[in-house]
Amino acid sequence: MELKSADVLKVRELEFPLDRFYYRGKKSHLWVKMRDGITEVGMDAFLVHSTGYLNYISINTGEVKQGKGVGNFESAKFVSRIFSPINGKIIEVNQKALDNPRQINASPYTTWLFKIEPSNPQELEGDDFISSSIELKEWIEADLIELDGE
Amino acid sequence: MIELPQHQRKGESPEFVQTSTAAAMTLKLFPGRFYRKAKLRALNLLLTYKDGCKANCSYCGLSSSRKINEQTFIRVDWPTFALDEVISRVNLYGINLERVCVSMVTHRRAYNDMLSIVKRFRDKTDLRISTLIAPTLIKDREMIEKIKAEGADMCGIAVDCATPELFKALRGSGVRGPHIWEHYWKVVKDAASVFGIYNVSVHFVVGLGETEKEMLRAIQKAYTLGAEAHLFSFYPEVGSTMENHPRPSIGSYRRIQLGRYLIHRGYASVDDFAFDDKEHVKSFGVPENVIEEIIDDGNAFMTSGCRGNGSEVACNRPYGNERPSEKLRNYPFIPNIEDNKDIREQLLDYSF
Repeated sequence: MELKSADVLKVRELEFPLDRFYYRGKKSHLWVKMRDGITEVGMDAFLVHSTGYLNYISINTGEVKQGKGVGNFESAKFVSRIFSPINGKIIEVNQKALDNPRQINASPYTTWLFKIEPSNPQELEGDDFISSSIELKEWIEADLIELDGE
Repeated sequence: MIELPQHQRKGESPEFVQTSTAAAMTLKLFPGRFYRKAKLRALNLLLTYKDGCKANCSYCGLSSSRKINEQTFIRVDWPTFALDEVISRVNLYGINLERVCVSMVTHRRAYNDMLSIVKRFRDKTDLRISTLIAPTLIKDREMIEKIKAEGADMCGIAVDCATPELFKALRGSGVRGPHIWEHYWKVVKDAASVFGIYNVSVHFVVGLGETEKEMLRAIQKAYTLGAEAHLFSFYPEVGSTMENHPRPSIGSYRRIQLGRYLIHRGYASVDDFAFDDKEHVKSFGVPENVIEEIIDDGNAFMTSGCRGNGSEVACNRPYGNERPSEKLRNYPFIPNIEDNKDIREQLLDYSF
Protein backbone atom coordinates (compact mmCIF):
# COMPACT_ATOMS: atom_id res chain seq x y z
CA MET A 1 0.00 0.00 0.00
CA GLU A 2 1.48 3.33 -1.08
CA LEU A 3 1.23 6.36 1.14
CA LYS A 4 0.98 9.82 -0.31
CA SER A 5 4.03 11.58 1.09
CA ALA A 6 6.89 11.43 3.50
CA ASP A 7 5.88 14.64 5.24
CA VAL A 8 6.10 14.91 8.96
CA LEU A 9 3.31 16.17 11.21
CA LYS A 10 4.51 18.04 14.27
CA VAL A 11 2.32 18.28 17.36
CA ARG A 12 4.03 20.29 20.11
CA GLU A 13 7.56 18.86 20.03
CA LEU A 14 6.46 15.43 18.78
CA GLU A 15 6.92 14.30 15.20
CA PHE A 16 4.77 11.90 13.18
CA PRO A 17 5.98 10.91 9.72
CA LEU A 18 3.06 10.59 7.33
CA ASP A 19 4.54 7.67 5.42
CA ARG A 20 2.86 5.11 7.70
CA PHE A 21 -0.31 4.22 9.58
CA TYR A 22 -0.90 4.77 13.30
CA TYR A 23 -2.77 2.17 15.33
CA ARG A 24 -5.01 3.58 18.06
CA GLY A 25 -6.90 0.42 19.04
CA LYS A 26 -6.68 -0.43 22.76
CA LYS A 27 -5.32 3.10 23.26
CA SER A 28 -2.12 1.96 21.56
CA HIS A 29 0.20 4.38 19.87
CA LEU A 30 1.97 2.10 17.42
CA TRP A 31 3.13 2.96 13.94
CA VAL A 32 2.60 0.39 11.21
CA LYS A 33 4.40 0.38 7.91
CA MET A 34 4.03 -2.05 5.01
CA ARG A 35 7.24 -3.11 3.32
CA ASP A 36 7.21 -5.85 0.65
CA GLY A 37 4.01 -7.37 2.04
CA ILE A 38 5.33 -7.47 5.60
CA THR A 39 4.12 -5.12 8.34
CA GLU A 40 6.72 -3.38 10.48
CA VAL A 41 5.46 -2.19 13.86
CA GLY A 42 7.03 0.38 16.19
CA MET A 43 6.17 2.86 18.94
CA ASP A 44 5.11 6.36 17.96
CA ALA A 45 6.52 9.58 19.42
CA PHE A 46 3.56 10.07 21.75
CA LEU A 47 4.00 6.63 23.29
CA VAL A 48 7.75 7.07 23.65
CA HIS A 49 7.38 10.55 25.14
CA SER A 50 4.63 9.56 27.56
CA THR A 51 6.41 6.41 28.70
CA GLY A 52 9.79 8.01 29.29
CA TYR A 53 13.15 6.33 28.89
CA LEU A 54 12.46 2.70 28.10
CA ASN A 55 14.15 0.06 30.22
CA TYR A 56 12.51 -3.22 29.21
CA ILE A 57 10.53 -4.53 26.25
CA SER A 58 9.32 -8.06 25.65
CA ILE A 59 7.59 -9.39 22.53
CA ASN A 60 6.12 -12.86 21.98
CA THR A 61 6.40 -14.48 18.58
CA GLY A 62 3.93 -16.63 16.62
CA GLU A 63 0.29 -16.16 15.60
CA VAL A 64 -1.29 -12.91 16.75
CA LYS A 65 -4.77 -11.46 16.77
CA GLN A 66 -5.61 -7.79 16.38
CA GLY A 67 -6.01 -6.09 19.76
CA LYS A 68 -4.51 -8.98 21.73
CA GLY A 69 -1.43 -8.55 23.87
CA VAL A 70 1.89 -9.55 22.35
CA GLY A 71 4.28 -8.09 24.90
CA ASN A 72 5.08 -5.41 27.46
CA PHE A 73 7.12 -2.25 27.69
CA GLU A 74 8.42 -0.60 30.81
CA SER A 75 10.21 2.56 31.89
CA ALA A 76 11.37 3.56 35.38
CA LYS A 77 7.86 4.58 36.41
CA PHE A 78 5.42 3.11 33.90
CA VAL A 79 4.51 -0.26 32.44
CA SER A 80 1.95 -1.31 29.83
CA ARG A 81 1.02 -3.95 27.26
CA ILE A 82 1.80 -3.97 23.57
CA PHE A 83 -1.17 -5.04 21.46
CA SER A 84 -1.00 -6.45 17.99
CA PRO A 85 -2.35 -3.96 15.45
CA ILE A 86 -3.36 -6.68 12.98
CA ASN A 87 -4.04 -10.40 12.60
CA GLY A 88 -1.17 -12.48 11.35
CA LYS A 89 2.07 -13.99 12.49
CA ILE A 90 5.04 -12.28 14.14
CA ILE A 91 7.95 -13.44 12.04
CA GLU A 92 10.74 -11.31 13.42
CA VAL A 93 11.52 -9.36 16.57
CA ASN A 94 14.10 -6.57 16.67
CA GLN A 95 16.42 -8.07 19.26
CA LYS A 96 18.76 -5.06 19.11
CA ALA A 97 15.89 -2.81 20.21
CA LEU A 98 14.90 -5.23 22.96
CA ASP A 99 18.50 -5.35 24.19
CA ASN A 100 18.81 -1.56 24.11
CA PRO A 101 15.30 -0.10 24.40
CA ARG A 102 16.61 3.46 24.68
CA GLN A 103 17.41 3.19 20.99
CA ILE A 104 13.65 3.60 20.57
CA ASN A 105 13.68 6.82 22.61
CA ALA A 106 16.44 8.14 20.37
CA SER A 107 14.88 7.11 17.09
CA PRO A 108 11.33 5.75 17.33
CA TYR A 109 10.57 5.71 13.60
CA THR A 110 13.68 3.94 12.40
CA THR A 111 13.54 1.37 15.20
CA TRP A 112 10.87 -1.19 14.48
CA LEU A 113 9.87 -3.60 17.24
CA PHE A 114 8.48 -6.58 15.35
CA LYS A 115 7.37 -7.66 11.91
CA ILE A 116 4.04 -9.32 11.14
CA GLU A 117 3.11 -11.37 8.15
CA PRO A 118 -0.46 -10.09 7.86
CA SER A 119 -3.45 -12.38 7.31
CA ASN A 120 -5.31 -9.57 5.63
CA PRO A 121 -3.49 -6.35 4.61
CA GLN A 122 -6.87 -4.65 4.10
CA GLU A 123 -7.16 -4.39 7.89
CA LEU A 124 -5.06 -1.22 7.70
CA GLU A 125 -8.07 0.51 6.19
CA GLY A 126 -10.11 -0.06 9.38
CA ASP A 127 -11.18 2.57 11.92
CA ASP A 128 -8.37 1.70 14.31
CA PHE A 129 -5.80 3.08 11.87
CA ILE A 130 -5.02 6.70 11.09
CA SER A 131 -3.00 8.05 8.23
CA SER A 132 -4.44 11.49 7.51
CA SER A 133 -2.66 14.40 9.14
CA ILE A 134 -5.90 16.08 10.22
CA GLU A 135 -7.17 13.04 12.06
CA LEU A 136 -3.73 12.32 13.45
CA LYS A 137 -3.36 15.86 14.79
CA GLU A 138 -6.76 15.73 16.53
CA TRP A 139 -5.97 12.37 18.09
CA ILE A 140 -2.50 13.33 19.33
CA GLU A 141 -3.67 16.68 20.68
CA ALA A 142 -6.50 15.01 22.60
CA ASP A 143 -4.14 12.44 24.10
CA LEU A 144 -1.58 15.11 25.03
CA ILE A 145 -4.28 17.04 26.87
CA GLU A 146 -5.26 13.86 28.71
CA LEU A 147 -1.60 13.26 29.56
CA ASP A 148 -1.20 16.83 30.83
CA GLY A 149 -4.05 16.15 33.24
CA GLU A 150 -2.39 13.12 34.85
CA MET B 1 14.13 13.97 17.96
CA ILE B 2 13.87 12.96 21.60
CA GLU B 3 17.05 13.45 23.61
CA LEU B 4 18.52 10.71 25.71
CA PRO B 5 19.33 11.45 29.37
CA GLN B 6 22.63 13.16 29.94
CA HIS B 7 24.66 11.19 32.42
CA GLN B 8 27.61 13.56 32.40
CA ARG B 9 27.62 15.72 35.48
CA LYS B 10 27.33 19.28 34.26
CA GLY B 11 28.30 20.97 37.49
CA GLU B 12 28.45 20.77 41.23
CA SER B 13 26.34 21.81 44.15
CA PRO B 14 25.19 24.29 45.19
CA GLU B 15 24.64 25.53 41.61
CA PHE B 16 23.64 22.04 40.46
CA VAL B 17 21.69 19.23 42.08
CA GLN B 18 20.73 15.72 41.14
CA THR B 19 17.01 14.98 41.07
CA SER B 20 15.20 11.67 41.25
CA THR B 21 13.71 10.43 37.98
CA ALA B 22 10.25 11.05 39.46
CA ALA B 23 11.21 14.64 40.27
CA ALA B 24 12.68 15.20 36.81
CA MET B 25 9.46 13.87 35.25
CA THR B 26 7.26 16.02 37.46
CA LEU B 27 9.26 19.11 36.55
CA LYS B 28 9.08 18.14 32.85
CA LEU B 29 12.84 17.80 32.67
CA PHE B 30 12.40 14.13 31.76
CA PRO B 31 9.63 12.61 29.66
CA GLY B 32 7.39 9.96 31.16
CA ARG B 33 4.28 9.23 33.18
CA PHE B 34 3.50 7.35 36.37
CA TYR B 35 1.85 3.95 36.29
CA ARG B 36 -1.61 3.98 37.90
CA LYS B 37 -1.53 7.78 37.66
CA ALA B 38 0.53 8.16 40.83
CA LYS B 39 1.44 11.75 41.64
CA LEU B 40 4.71 12.82 43.16
CA ARG B 41 4.18 15.04 46.21
CA ALA B 42 7.76 15.68 47.31
CA LEU B 43 10.82 16.60 45.30
CA ASN B 44 13.94 14.64 46.18
CA LEU B 45 17.22 16.41 45.51
CA LEU B 46 20.73 15.19 46.08
CA LEU B 47 23.86 17.28 46.38
CA THR B 48 26.38 16.44 43.70
CA TYR B 49 30.17 16.70 43.46
CA LYS B 50 32.68 15.64 40.83
CA ASP B 51 34.62 13.63 43.37
CA GLY B 52 31.42 12.11 44.75
CA CYS B 53 30.40 10.88 48.17
CA LYS B 54 33.32 10.05 50.46
CA ALA B 55 31.49 7.22 52.18
CA ASN B 56 31.68 3.63 51.12
CA CYS B 57 28.37 2.01 52.05
CA SER B 58 28.10 -1.47 50.57
CA TYR B 59 24.57 -1.18 49.27
CA CYS B 60 24.62 2.40 48.00
CA GLY B 61 24.68 3.61 44.41
CA LEU B 62 26.69 6.63 45.53
CA SER B 63 29.44 4.59 47.19
CA SER B 64 32.96 5.62 46.23
CA SER B 65 33.80 1.93 45.72
CA ARG B 66 31.04 1.34 43.17
CA LYS B 67 32.57 -0.39 40.19
CA ILE B 68 30.64 1.34 37.44
CA ASN B 69 30.20 5.00 36.70
CA GLU B 70 26.41 5.10 36.59
CA GLN B 71 24.31 7.87 37.99
CA THR B 72 21.69 5.54 39.43
CA PHE B 73 20.68 5.61 43.05
CA ILE B 74 17.82 3.67 44.64
CA ARG B 75 17.07 1.93 41.33
CA VAL B 76 16.69 4.87 38.94
CA ASP B 77 18.60 7.64 37.18
CA TRP B 78 19.37 10.77 39.16
CA PRO B 79 20.14 13.33 36.45
CA THR B 80 21.89 16.61 37.25
CA PHE B 81 20.23 19.97 36.63
CA ALA B 82 20.92 23.60 37.48
CA LEU B 83 19.28 24.57 40.76
CA ASP B 84 17.84 27.73 39.16
CA GLU B 85 16.12 25.56 36.54
CA VAL B 86 14.70 23.23 39.19
CA ILE B 87 13.34 26.11 41.26
CA SER B 88 11.77 27.89 38.31
CA ARG B 89 10.09 24.64 37.23
CA VAL B 90 8.79 23.98 40.75
CA ASN B 91 6.90 27.23 40.41
CA LEU B 92 5.70 26.35 36.90
CA TYR B 93 4.80 22.66 37.20
CA GLY B 94 4.89 21.80 40.88
CA ILE B 95 1.16 22.08 41.53
CA ASN B 96 1.04 18.72 43.35
CA LEU B 97 4.30 19.23 45.20
CA GLU B 98 4.15 19.99 48.92
CA ARG B 99 7.71 19.42 50.03
CA VAL B 100 11.31 19.32 48.87
CA CYS B 101 13.97 17.17 50.48
CA VAL B 102 17.58 18.32 50.16
CA SER B 103 19.89 15.36 50.74
CA MET B 104 23.49 15.79 51.75
CA VAL B 105 26.19 13.35 50.74
CA THR B 106 29.34 12.77 52.78
CA HIS B 107 31.48 15.51 51.29
CA ARG B 108 33.30 18.37 53.00
CA ARG B 109 31.26 21.02 51.17
CA ALA B 110 27.88 19.38 51.63
CA TYR B 111 26.76 21.04 54.87
CA ASN B 112 27.20 24.63 53.72
CA ASP B 113 25.85 23.86 50.26
CA MET B 114 22.79 22.20 51.78
CA LEU B 115 22.15 25.32 53.87
CA SER B 116 22.38 27.54 50.83
CA ILE B 117 19.99 25.33 48.84
CA VAL B 118 17.51 25.25 51.73
CA LYS B 119 17.61 29.04 51.86
CA ARG B 120 17.02 29.27 48.11
CA PHE B 121 13.94 27.09 48.34
CA ARG B 122 12.67 29.03 51.36
CA ASP B 123 13.04 32.32 49.50
CA LYS B 124 11.83 31.23 46.06
CA THR B 125 9.11 28.58 46.59
CA ASP B 126 6.22 27.72 48.89
CA LEU B 127 7.40 24.17 49.46
CA ARG B 128 7.97 22.79 52.93
CA ILE B 129 11.60 21.79 53.32
CA SER B 130 13.18 18.61 54.66
CA THR B 131 16.85 17.91 54.83
CA LEU B 132 18.38 14.46 54.81
CA ILE B 133 21.56 15.13 56.71
CA ALA B 134 24.87 13.28 56.74
CA PRO B 135 25.55 12.83 60.49
CA THR B 136 29.25 12.19 59.95
CA LEU B 137 29.56 15.87 58.95
CA ILE B 138 27.44 17.11 61.86
CA LYS B 139 29.76 17.95 64.71
CA ASP B 140 27.39 19.59 67.18
CA ARG B 141 23.81 20.57 67.97
CA GLU B 142 24.37 24.11 66.69
CA MET B 143 24.83 22.80 63.18
CA ILE B 144 21.35 21.24 63.38
CA GLU B 145 19.88 24.43 64.80
CA LYS B 146 21.24 26.34 61.82
CA ILE B 147 19.46 24.00 59.39
CA LYS B 148 16.16 24.78 61.08
CA ALA B 149 16.96 28.49 61.17
CA GLU B 150 17.55 28.49 57.40
CA GLY B 151 14.04 27.17 56.77
CA ALA B 152 13.82 23.38 57.07
CA ASP B 153 10.94 22.11 59.20
CA MET B 154 11.80 18.41 59.12
CA CYS B 155 15.05 16.49 59.25
CA GLY B 156 15.92 12.96 58.20
CA ILE B 157 18.81 10.73 59.15
CA ALA B 158 19.55 7.62 57.10
CA VAL B 159 20.68 5.11 59.71
CA ASP B 160 19.63 2.46 57.16
CA CYS B 161 20.88 -0.56 59.15
CA ALA B 162 18.90 -2.07 62.01
CA THR B 163 21.79 -3.20 64.18
CA PRO B 164 25.21 -1.83 65.16
CA GLU B 165 26.86 -4.95 63.75
CA LEU B 166 25.31 -4.46 60.31
CA PHE B 167 26.03 -0.75 60.42
CA LYS B 168 29.69 -1.36 61.16
CA ALA B 169 29.97 -4.07 58.50
CA LEU B 170 28.16 -2.22 55.71
CA ARG B 171 28.85 1.43 56.46
CA GLY B 172 31.62 1.67 59.02
CA SER B 173 35.00 0.09 59.57
CA GLY B 174 33.93 -3.09 57.76
CA VAL B 175 34.07 -1.21 54.45
CA ARG B 176 36.63 1.40 55.54
CA GLY B 177 33.73 3.82 55.74
CA PRO B 178 33.65 6.88 57.98
CA HIS B 179 30.29 6.34 59.66
CA ILE B 180 29.82 5.50 63.34
CA TRP B 181 26.58 4.01 64.74
CA GLU B 182 26.68 5.79 68.09
CA HIS B 183 27.24 9.17 66.45
CA TYR B 184 24.28 8.65 64.09
CA TRP B 185 21.94 8.01 67.04
CA LYS B 186 23.34 10.99 68.93
CA VAL B 187 22.46 13.14 65.92
CA VAL B 188 18.95 11.61 65.87
CA LYS B 189 18.51 12.60 69.51
CA ASP B 190 19.86 16.11 68.94
CA ALA B 191 17.71 16.58 65.84
CA ALA B 192 14.57 15.54 67.75
CA SER B 193 15.36 18.14 70.40
CA VAL B 194 15.88 20.84 67.75
CA PHE B 195 13.08 20.07 65.28
CA GLY B 196 10.60 18.67 67.81
CA ILE B 197 9.49 15.08 68.25
CA TYR B 198 8.26 13.33 65.12
CA ASN B 199 9.59 16.13 62.94
CA VAL B 200 12.66 13.96 62.62
CA SER B 201 12.83 10.73 60.69
CA VAL B 202 15.16 7.77 60.64
CA HIS B 203 15.47 5.95 57.31
CA PHE B 204 15.79 2.20 57.47
CA VAL B 205 16.55 -0.07 54.51
CA VAL B 206 14.78 -3.38 55.02
CA GLY B 207 16.70 -6.37 53.69
CA LEU B 208 20.32 -5.57 54.50
CA GLY B 209 20.68 -8.77 56.52
CA GLU B 210 18.67 -8.05 59.64
CA THR B 211 15.78 -10.09 61.03
CA GLU B 212 12.23 -8.79 61.30
CA LYS B 213 12.67 -8.57 65.06
CA GLU B 214 15.87 -6.54 64.73
CA MET B 215 14.26 -4.11 62.31
CA LEU B 216 11.18 -3.64 64.48
CA ARG B 217 13.39 -3.08 67.53
CA ALA B 218 15.27 -0.39 65.61
CA ILE B 219 11.98 1.23 64.56
CA GLN B 220 10.87 1.21 68.20
CA LYS B 221 14.19 2.74 69.25
CA ALA B 222 13.78 5.61 66.78
CA TYR B 223 10.18 6.19 67.81
CA THR B 224 11.08 6.25 71.50
CA LEU B 225 13.67 8.93 70.72
CA GLY B 226 11.03 11.06 69.00
CA ALA B 227 11.77 10.10 65.40
CA GLU B 228 9.47 8.49 62.85
CA ALA B 229 10.86 5.50 60.97
CA HIS B 230 10.68 5.73 57.18
CA LEU B 231 11.08 2.46 55.35
CA PHE B 232 12.89 1.53 52.16
CA SER B 233 13.06 -1.92 50.64
CA PHE B 234 16.58 -2.92 49.63
CA TYR B 235 17.09 -2.95 45.85
CA PRO B 236 20.51 -4.16 44.69
CA GLU B 237 22.45 -1.47 42.85
CA VAL B 238 24.42 -2.80 39.89
CA GLY B 239 28.14 -2.42 40.54
CA SER B 240 27.76 -1.99 44.31
CA THR B 241 29.31 -4.45 46.75
CA MET B 242 25.85 -5.83 47.47
CA GLU B 243 24.72 -6.11 43.85
CA ASN B 244 24.03 -9.84 44.31
CA HIS B 245 22.37 -9.59 47.70
CA PRO B 246 18.70 -10.68 47.58
CA ARG B 247 15.84 -8.28 48.15
CA PRO B 248 13.78 -8.79 51.29
CA SER B 249 10.78 -11.04 50.86
CA ILE B 250 7.55 -9.15 50.39
CA GLY B 251 6.11 -11.02 53.39
CA SER B 252 8.84 -9.67 55.66
CA TYR B 253 8.46 -6.20 54.25
CA ARG B 254 4.70 -6.17 54.85
CA ARG B 255 5.05 -7.40 58.43
CA ILE B 256 7.63 -4.69 59.14
CA GLN B 257 5.35 -2.06 57.58
CA LEU B 258 2.47 -3.25 59.75
CA GLY B 259 4.62 -3.41 62.88
CA ARG B 260 5.91 0.09 62.23
CA TYR B 261 2.38 1.39 61.81
CA LEU B 262 1.23 -0.22 65.05
CA ILE B 263 4.17 1.33 66.92
CA HIS B 264 3.66 4.77 65.36
CA ARG B 265 -0.07 4.85 65.96
CA GLY B 266 0.21 3.67 69.53
CA TYR B 267 -1.52 0.31 69.06
CA ALA B 268 1.47 -1.65 70.32
CA SER B 269 5.15 -1.60 71.10
CA VAL B 270 7.73 -4.06 69.86
CA ASP B 271 7.47 -5.86 73.22
CA ASP B 272 3.88 -6.83 72.34
CA PHE B 273 4.99 -8.62 69.15
CA ALA B 274 5.72 -12.35 69.18
CA PHE B 275 8.45 -13.80 66.97
CA ASP B 276 9.33 -17.32 65.84
CA ASP B 277 12.78 -18.88 66.14
CA LYS B 278 13.86 -17.14 62.90
CA GLU B 279 12.68 -13.84 64.36
CA HIS B 280 9.77 -13.45 61.92
CA VAL B 281 6.70 -11.80 63.41
CA LYS B 282 4.11 -14.43 64.33
CA SER B 283 1.72 -12.15 66.19
CA PHE B 284 1.35 -8.41 66.64
CA GLY B 285 -0.39 -8.62 70.01
CA VAL B 286 -3.43 -6.62 68.93
CA PRO B 287 -6.95 -7.94 68.21
CA GLU B 288 -7.55 -9.47 64.78
CA ASN B 289 -10.32 -6.99 63.97
CA VAL B 290 -7.90 -4.10 64.48
CA ILE B 291 -5.44 -5.67 62.04
CA GLU B 292 -8.27 -6.22 59.53
CA GLU B 293 -9.31 -2.57 59.78
CA ILE B 294 -5.71 -1.43 59.29
CA ILE B 295 -5.36 -3.59 56.19
CA ASP B 296 -8.65 -2.26 54.78
CA ASP B 297 -7.54 1.29 55.48
CA GLY B 298 -4.27 0.72 53.61
CA ASN B 299 -2.24 3.57 55.11
CA ALA B 300 0.16 1.20 56.85
CA PHE B 301 1.41 -0.02 53.47
CA MET B 302 1.77 3.35 51.80
CA THR B 303 5.19 4.96 51.46
CA SER B 304 6.44 6.28 54.77
CA GLY B 305 8.03 9.70 54.53
CA CYS B 306 7.92 13.31 55.59
CA ARG B 307 4.47 14.86 55.84
CA GLY B 308 3.10 17.49 53.49
CA ASN B 309 0.73 20.35 54.23
CA GLY B 310 -1.57 18.11 56.26
CA SER B 311 -0.94 14.89 58.13
CA GLU B 312 -0.50 12.83 54.98
CA VAL B 313 2.87 11.74 53.66
CA ALA B 314 4.30 14.00 50.96
CA CYS B 315 7.44 11.97 50.27
CA ASN B 316 5.63 9.18 48.42
CA ARG B 317 8.47 8.10 46.05
CA PRO B 318 6.39 6.31 43.36
CA TYR B 319 8.08 3.07 42.20
CA GLY B 320 11.22 3.99 44.08
CA ASN B 321 11.71 0.50 45.48
CA GLU B 322 10.51 -1.71 42.70
CA ARG B 323 9.84 -1.81 38.99
CA PRO B 324 6.32 -0.69 38.11
CA SER B 325 5.64 -4.18 36.77
CA GLU B 326 6.28 -5.71 40.19
CA LYS B 327 4.14 -5.91 43.32
CA LEU B 328 4.46 -2.58 45.06
CA ARG B 329 6.45 -2.45 48.29
CA ASN B 330 5.49 1.13 49.15
CA TYR B 331 2.14 2.29 47.76
CA PRO B 332 2.36 5.92 46.62
CA PHE B 333 -1.45 6.11 46.80
CA ILE B 334 -4.15 4.42 48.88
CA PRO B 335 -4.15 0.70 48.03
CA ASN B 336 -7.30 -0.43 46.24
CA ILE B 337 -9.38 -3.56 46.96
CA GLU B 338 -7.15 -5.73 44.77
CA ASP B 339 -4.05 -4.38 46.49
CA ASN B 340 -5.62 -5.10 49.90
CA LYS B 341 -6.18 -8.68 48.81
CA ASP B 342 -2.50 -8.97 47.86
CA ILE B 343 -1.43 -7.39 51.15
CA ARG B 344 -3.48 -9.91 53.17
CA GLU B 345 -1.79 -12.80 51.38
CA GLN B 346 1.66 -11.23 51.59
CA LEU B 347 1.42 -10.70 55.35
CA LEU B 348 1.06 -14.46 55.72
CA ASP B 349 3.89 -15.24 53.31
CA TYR B 350 6.81 -16.78 55.21
CA SER B 351 8.53 -18.27 52.17
CA PHE B 352 11.95 -16.87 51.32
